[in-house]
Amino acid sequence: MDEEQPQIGVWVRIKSIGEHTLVLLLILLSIWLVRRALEALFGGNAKLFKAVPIEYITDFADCLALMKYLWALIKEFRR
Amino acid sequence: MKAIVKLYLNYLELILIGMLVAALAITLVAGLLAGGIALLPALLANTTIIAIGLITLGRRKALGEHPEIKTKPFKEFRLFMLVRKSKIILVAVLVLVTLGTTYSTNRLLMNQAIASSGMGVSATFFNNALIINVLEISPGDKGNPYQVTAVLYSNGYPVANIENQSVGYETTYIGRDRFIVRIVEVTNIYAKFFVERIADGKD
Repeated sequence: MDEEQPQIGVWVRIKSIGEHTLVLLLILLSIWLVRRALEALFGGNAKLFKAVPIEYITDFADCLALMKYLWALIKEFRR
Repeated sequence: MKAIVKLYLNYLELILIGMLVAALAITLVAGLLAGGIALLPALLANTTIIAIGLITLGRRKALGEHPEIKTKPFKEFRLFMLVRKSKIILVAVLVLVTLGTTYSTNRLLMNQAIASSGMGVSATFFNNALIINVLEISPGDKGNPYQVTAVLYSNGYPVANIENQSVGYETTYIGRDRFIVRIVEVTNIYAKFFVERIADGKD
């Protein structure tokens, strides 16, 4: 009985990581769509007020999504 | 499936908040760097960031009073909605006004450019939509020491001339787009032109 418990834990962990990975891919796809929309609105490589690239908005969103994913992984392995 | 949707909404909320804050922060920084008319959206962005920050301060208290929100999707938005209605409307209006002002100011600035042209060196604007060639710089009168003679053209469109004009002269040229061209500086070696694109249609 004691030997089976870690097996169940591993599968629960793999399922949770799989869900987070799938959602991360969906979110990255959503951010890419936002990026394309911004490009259509302002043009490719456009800079806001000719000073700061507009694509930084989606770059920041990518970073946030990856950080949340990493945080979820850390929490999963500390469980 | 339900768990994945819930998790997706969880990520989505973070991303939406992050993109909004990033857009406001970029507007603030870009506006300060650009100066001039861009300072207005920068000021609005700053005000909006402060307003959102002040409302977010009450987040912990609201979460303590409504612990059931913790497990629901769009937790942060729900907490935000618990704040007084007048404050939410104020922030919503501020966000919309800031984004609208940023878009219109950016569009205006994207259609304005300044470039210099000397003998044999062309000034090009908006990816060669307008080209200005200085043909001659001649001595002017007392108030304007130099006058410029130049040709304006878009590839495939008729040429227009500027003949012996000095600083402050303004003309309209219709080529690939419609442009207002103004002479802003003339020295003995180059002339500087300010160009505003009025219609940015493609040919």
